[in-house]
This record gives sequence, C-alpha cells and structure tokens, in this order.
Amino acid sequence: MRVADSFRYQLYVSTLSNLKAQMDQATGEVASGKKVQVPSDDPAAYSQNLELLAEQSQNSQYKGNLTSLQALSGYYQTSLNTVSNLLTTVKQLAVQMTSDTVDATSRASAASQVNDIISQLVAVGNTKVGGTYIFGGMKADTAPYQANGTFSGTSGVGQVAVDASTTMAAGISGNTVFNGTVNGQAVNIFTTLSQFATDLANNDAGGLQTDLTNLENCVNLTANNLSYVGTYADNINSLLTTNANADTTITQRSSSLVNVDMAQAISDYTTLSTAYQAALYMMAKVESLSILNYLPTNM
Amino acid sequence: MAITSILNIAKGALSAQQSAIQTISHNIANVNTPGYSREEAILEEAQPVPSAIGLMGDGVVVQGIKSYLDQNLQNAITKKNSDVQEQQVYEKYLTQIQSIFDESNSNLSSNITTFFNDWSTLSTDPTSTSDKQTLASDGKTLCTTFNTLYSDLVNPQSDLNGEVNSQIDDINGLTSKIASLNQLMSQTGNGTSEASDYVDQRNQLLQQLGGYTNISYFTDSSNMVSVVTSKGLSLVDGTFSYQLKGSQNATTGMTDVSWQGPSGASQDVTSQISSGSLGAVLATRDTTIPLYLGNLNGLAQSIMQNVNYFHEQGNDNAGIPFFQCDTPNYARGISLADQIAGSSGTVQTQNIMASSSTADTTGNDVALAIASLANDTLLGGGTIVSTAAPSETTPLGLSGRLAVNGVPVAIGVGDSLSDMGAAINAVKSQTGVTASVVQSSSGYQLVLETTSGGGNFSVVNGDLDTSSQGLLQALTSTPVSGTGVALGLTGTIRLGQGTSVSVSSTDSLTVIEGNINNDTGTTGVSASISTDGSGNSVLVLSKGGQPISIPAGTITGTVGLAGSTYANYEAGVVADIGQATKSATDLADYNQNALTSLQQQQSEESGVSIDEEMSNLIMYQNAYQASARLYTVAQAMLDSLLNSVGVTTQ
Repeated sequence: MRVADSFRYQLYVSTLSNLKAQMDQATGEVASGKKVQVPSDDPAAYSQNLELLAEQSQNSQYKGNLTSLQALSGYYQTSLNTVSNLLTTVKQLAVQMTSDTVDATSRASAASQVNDIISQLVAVGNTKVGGTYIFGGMKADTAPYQANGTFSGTSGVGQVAVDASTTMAAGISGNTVFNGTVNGQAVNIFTTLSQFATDLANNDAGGLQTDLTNLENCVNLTANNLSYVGTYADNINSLLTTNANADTTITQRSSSLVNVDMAQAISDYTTLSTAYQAALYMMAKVESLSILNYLPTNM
Repeated sequence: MAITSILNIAKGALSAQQSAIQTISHNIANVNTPGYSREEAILEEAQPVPSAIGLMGDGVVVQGIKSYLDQNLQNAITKKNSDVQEQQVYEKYLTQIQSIFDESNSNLSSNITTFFNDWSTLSTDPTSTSDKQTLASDGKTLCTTFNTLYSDLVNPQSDLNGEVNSQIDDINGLTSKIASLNQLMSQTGNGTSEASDYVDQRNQLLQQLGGYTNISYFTDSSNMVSVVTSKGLSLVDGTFSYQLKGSQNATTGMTDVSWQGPSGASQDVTSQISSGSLGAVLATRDTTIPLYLGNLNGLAQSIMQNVNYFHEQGNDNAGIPFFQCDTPNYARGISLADQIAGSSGTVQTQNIMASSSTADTTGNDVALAIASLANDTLLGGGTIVSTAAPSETTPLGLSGRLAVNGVPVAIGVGDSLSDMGAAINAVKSQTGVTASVVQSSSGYQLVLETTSGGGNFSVVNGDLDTSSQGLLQALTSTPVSGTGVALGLTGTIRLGQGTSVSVSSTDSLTVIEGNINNDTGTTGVSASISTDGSGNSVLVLSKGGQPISIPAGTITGTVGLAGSTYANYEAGVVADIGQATKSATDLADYNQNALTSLQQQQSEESGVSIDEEMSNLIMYQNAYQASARLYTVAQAMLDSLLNSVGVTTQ
C-alpha cells in the first residue's frame, strides 16, 4: 500500500482533534457533575429531566400551599376549642338554670353572663390572621360577624391546590362552625345562645328546657366540626409527607437521568488522556523516521 | 551500426531520465497541494533500427506523462463532500439554536412554572398585594423570555440569509473558473503534465462546487466538463458559465435564489436547492427556524389566550386581560396588558383578578383556574386526538365548557363525539380549529386540527367551577349503600342546553334522580338508579334510551384529549432540537469519516509519497549518470578508432 505523506498528516490532525473533543466532553462531565450537559447529549433524558424539574417546582409550590393550610388549621383548632369550651360553660349554666330552685334574679345575672359569652364567640368568629378573617369564607377581608352574631361572610370557602389533580378547602366557613345540621335539626349557635339569654332574662322555665336541648345540639355541632378540623389537619400532614416523598423521588429520577457516575467519568477521562498521549508519542516517533535521514546530502 | 547511434541513444536516455526527474520534482513540490495527482513519466523503448544482425534497440523515449487519478473515486469524493458540507451547516446552526433553547440559558420552562406557581400562591391569599406584585413581575419576566427567545432565533436566520448571498457569489466564482479551465483544456493536448494539472485543478473546483450544492457533471470529447444542478439546470456548458442571482423576496425579506440561464432566461431555484451547504442554509433559514418560531408562538399564544380567558371572567366578567399582543407573532409581541402594567409603570394590582365575583371579595376561583392551567392545559402541535369512545353518537356524559384557543364551547352531558365536533366547528371562524370524528382501531376519536393545517392551538377545561365535575365524577363512580341516604355532595350538574341541576349536601340518590328527570324534556337526559354487582346503588344517566357511559377519569379538566402540559410541550420542543442537533452532529461525523476513507483510497492512488519519490529520484539519477557515461565511452571508442585509423593513413 502506498502511503501519501500529506494524508498521513491529515490523519494525525483528525485523530488528535477527535481525542481532544472527547476529552473536552469528559472534562465537562467531571467538572459539572452532569453527563447530559446540552440537549443533544441525550435528548430524551434532557427533556425528561426538564419535565421533572417543572414537576419539582410545582411540587414545592404545593408544599408551600400545604404549609400555609397547615398554619391555618392550627388557628381553626384553637378557635374551635375555644368555641367548644365556651359552649360547655353555657351548657353547664343551662343545666343549673333549668332547675326550679333558681330564682329570676339569678337567671337575669346568668343572662348577662351568656351575653358576655356571645361576645366572646363573635370575637372567635372574627378571628383575624394576617389580615384574613379565617371564618369569612370567600369574604375574608371584612369581619364576618356583627355583635349580634349575624353572618356576612360566605358559606363556601376557596379551594387550594395541594397536588396536580387535587384541591382542598381553604379552611372552614363560620357559617359551618356556628350554623349547621345535627340529627336532622338545623342548629345556629348564636340564635340558640341569644334565645337562651332572652329566656333567662324573661325567666321562661319552659323555654329554658328547649334551650337545653338546642345547646346540646350546639355542643354536638362543635364536636363534629372539631373532628372535621382534626381530620383536615391530619390530611394536610399526610399530604405533606406524600409531597416530601414525591420530591425525593423526583430528585432521584433526575439524578439518574443527568448526573454523572463520577468514578466512571474520571476513568473515561484517564483512558482518553492516555490515548491522546500515545497518539502524540507515535506521531513524534514516526516522524523521526524519514528516508531523507538516510540519503547522502551530496548525491 | 554506427558508434554515433550510441551517442544518439545516450542523448535520448539523458533527456528521458531528465524528464523523469523533472516529473519527480513536480511531484515533490506538490506533495501538499490539495487535489494534486502524482504524475509519472512513462518511459518506452525507442523504435528499433534495422541492422545487419536484425533489429537493434535504439534507446529510450518518453512516451508521455501519466497522471495517477481515479476519476470515479474523485466523483465519489465530490458527492460525499456535498453531504459533509451540508451536515456541517446543520450542525453549526442547530447547535446555536440548541443553546438558545437550552434551559440553563433560556429558563423558559422554569419561568412558565414559576408564573403558574404564582397564581397558586395568590389562590392561598387572594387579596395579597405583594403576591400580585410578584405575579406581575414574573408575568413580565415570562413575556421577556418569550420576546428574547424570539429575537435570538431570528438572529441566526438573518446570519443565514447573509450566508446565502455569499455562497451565491462563491458558486458563481467557481463556475466561471471551471468554464475558463474548460477553455484552457480545449487548447491543450492530452497526456501532458499541463493537461493533467488542469484536470486536477478542475476536479478541485468541482469538489468545492459540489460542497455548496449537489451537482452532476460529465466530460465531453473535447475534454470540457459540463455541470448541471441536481434538477438539470446548466451551470457550466463548455466555455460558458451560468450564474445564480440573489434577490430579496418582497414578502419575507429573505434572499431568493434564481438561475440566470442562456439568452436572458431566469428561473427561481430557491426550493430546488436541497443539498450541500447552500441547501442546508436555505432549509435552516426557511424550515427549521420558522418551525421553532412557530412552536414558541404557539406556546405564547396558548398561555396568553387561556390565562386571559379566565382572567377576563374576574370581578363579574370585568373583561380585563392579563396579557396582550398586537401581532400574530405571539412570542415576539406578548406583554403584560396595559391594564396590569399601568401607564406609568406602576403595576395595577387591583386589576389582577383572583375571584370571579365582586361579592366574594376573597374568592380565588380565577387564580385557581389559572394555576391549574399548568397541569390541565392541552397544547396540541397540529392535531389533538381524544381518547376512543365506543361510537360517534353515544353521549359521553361529559359536561362543562371547553376553551378552544380561548373561545368557550359548551359541552352537554348528553353530547356525543359528533355533537362535540359540531359545537367546536360552529366557532371555527374564531378559533381556526376544525374538529372531525374518525374511526380508529380502538373506537371513535375526535380529531382537532388547525384549519390551516399547521401551528398550535389549545383546548382547556373552560369551567371556573370545577366542583360540578367532581360531583359528576363522584355520582357516577362511587356506589352508595342506600338510595335514600344523603350523599353530602354539593354543586351543580350541567346537563347541556343551558339546563343544570343543583345538588345540596342533604340530597340522596333518589332526590338527584328526580331532579334530573324533571328536566328530561329539555335535556333529553334521564336518570335511573340501578344496583351494581356488590349490591350498591349507582345513578345511571341515559339519553334516548342509550346509557351515557362516563369513562373513569375523563371528567376532570381535559375531556380525555391527548396533548401536553406547557412544561411538557416545552420539554418536547427542546428534545426535538436536541435530537436534530444530535443527528446533524452524528451525520457530520459519519460523512466526514466516509469522506476521509474515500480520501485515503484516493491518496493511495494519487497522493505523493516522499519515500517513493526519493527512491525513484536515486534510480533516475543513477540512470542519468550511466547515460552520461555512455558519452565518455562512445567518445573513447571514437577517439581510439580515429587515432588508429589516423595513424595508418598518415
């Protein structure tokens, strides 16, 4: 086989530049820790990773949403506990006051005590957290309860996205807390308490008996709502756990797609750099062999 | 037989060896000349002369100069070089485009996600001014990202246009040089060093010309080469060359290429040039970049229309858009709406809507609907295909609204695929989207495509109130244990034809059944309660005696149409670009290797080997010295003859 000299040089150049390009790629992988640096390195992996990053960013948004709901659920629990305690007090009072031995004066003084409790319940209904009246439903920027317990918020509450396909109620409306149905009977805490105060003031023994039953319903309503809020908090916590797991999974999948196996990458780099040195050595070695070295200079 | 004939032989031999050495010098001098084919002086015995003892040899003559050129191999190289040049252009520009779309440079994907995340944040605190400020600022960043990507993509397009002009000049230069060489060739005899040098030069020019665009060529009897384009238009004919001319297209502003033929003939050849570097430049300029610009425009358009669709429903349909754009190039023109950006640059946060109702001052349905676009939106490139239904006339039991390119289309629970198609086609003039029902192996499918046949469009769930869909799903997918038990479900079932049935939390299956049947006259939908395999009760809806099947999972959001979310769509575009770049790089490497292999074969035939030339040089040098010695010998012979003869006669 004839070997043309100019082509031999061309081959050296292309061999060296090929090795150099591969070494650059390997250096980049080691330096960045990523085996997929630009889309063309592995288009499928790059785009999957891009989708995963978007998913992860959304997931962290859901985490933020859940965290704010979690804070909210704490306030609901505290508020409902207060409601529950106040109602227990009122119920005890009612049991006392329904007794035939209690006179009108005592009942009148108890009436003012109940009115105090109504004010306290209105205050609970108007609980404000960072500018938001948490019982206002979708009208949470103004106090939902007037002093007499009239509700001006909305029964519905907003929804908050907690994962890609699920929304969760943003808390609970005052209209659900202070108003509802127990054993098929409509119950309104403020109406019941107002009626109770009125019956006390009027010394209406018959009315007080009815009030006692109604108060029982109020206590049950609150118990139901407390359990709802408890479940609500539990749901949030379990969603937060799911969320954290999803984040870990995404991180692992993303890593397996684009991250480099460092040991492999460094070993690849070493192999390439050895090949490069060998190519340079051979080039120098072969070039020192020339017919011109063996011909007399003055033929 | 005379001693003088020895002198003649010596003279011929000296001349022949000298020619051979001259040829070797020429070879050595051109060891690195591209396209040079090594030459060799062909020595031949001279015609023998008759003598008393028969024919006697009369020395050596140079029969001619042979050029070692395999023209077929050379033609293959020219052809392969065309592929190499083509792929190298693709590689160069696609790498550029890829780096524009590379997420670490563009941040498009993360900016889209951030924007929709902001809406989700706003939904948790719908009156927060700071959340709205963030939203406006991230919305603006998203617009700027689109604007920048658009202009970054347009830049290589104008670079490519400049390249078209310069390549046309190069091609014209090459064809006229080939024509001049034809002229010289016709005046030079065959088998001379001069002629083979011209052939080498011409081959080199043809190889360069083939690099610009695929050509065919053939040599005629007078050694002139004719060059035609792959479509048969003559570029070189004998000593004439026909030029290409660039002229600006009035519509696109880009350079069109025309061929200037004999006697004033002119023909537009822009679309004919599909190979070589010019082919690649034109294809990248006219096809690849417009495709990605189209993808960007589609994405920007869909985000703008769908966000606006919901945003305009804010505050009792106040009609305030979030984005605006005054050009069909949405990626170039998208910006925050004036109502949001504010005339003095102060963000008008009060115009950023979270609630559809002014009564629900802290409602968040609009924010929630926009946030869910990140998950639900179906952006179709070209066509969107629904999941298969058993028949085209069976009601699907889907209810609600679709927003097709931001135009609402009402879908009733009794609507079949055909009905959905008709409803979508009714607003075709506004949406530019055509629907048709096709039968596939798995059933009937609704195929949506743009009327023009290209570009992107989107279909999203158009209902702000997602609870009705959840309700419908709950009703149809959750069996309950008793027909009279309150289900605790609240909301509205939309039954089409503007009729809906309200459901409150105390309603049982029986009550809901009754309410739906009250409206059967209007809706055509009737309800009945049946018992499933586990003895539980389920509500079955039917229309015209046909049960309405409600496939699980097709109610929420998407009506079962296949497409992509924004993030996935963007990732898909980047994957396309990555794949195209990878193919171009791989093909460029492959073709380069193939070319190298051809060049190696050619160099074995035509390349100059210094070892060989030096060996031959010694060989001919020795022959030259020996021939010169013949003079001395002949001289001595003549001398001795003359001397002895002279002595005798004196």
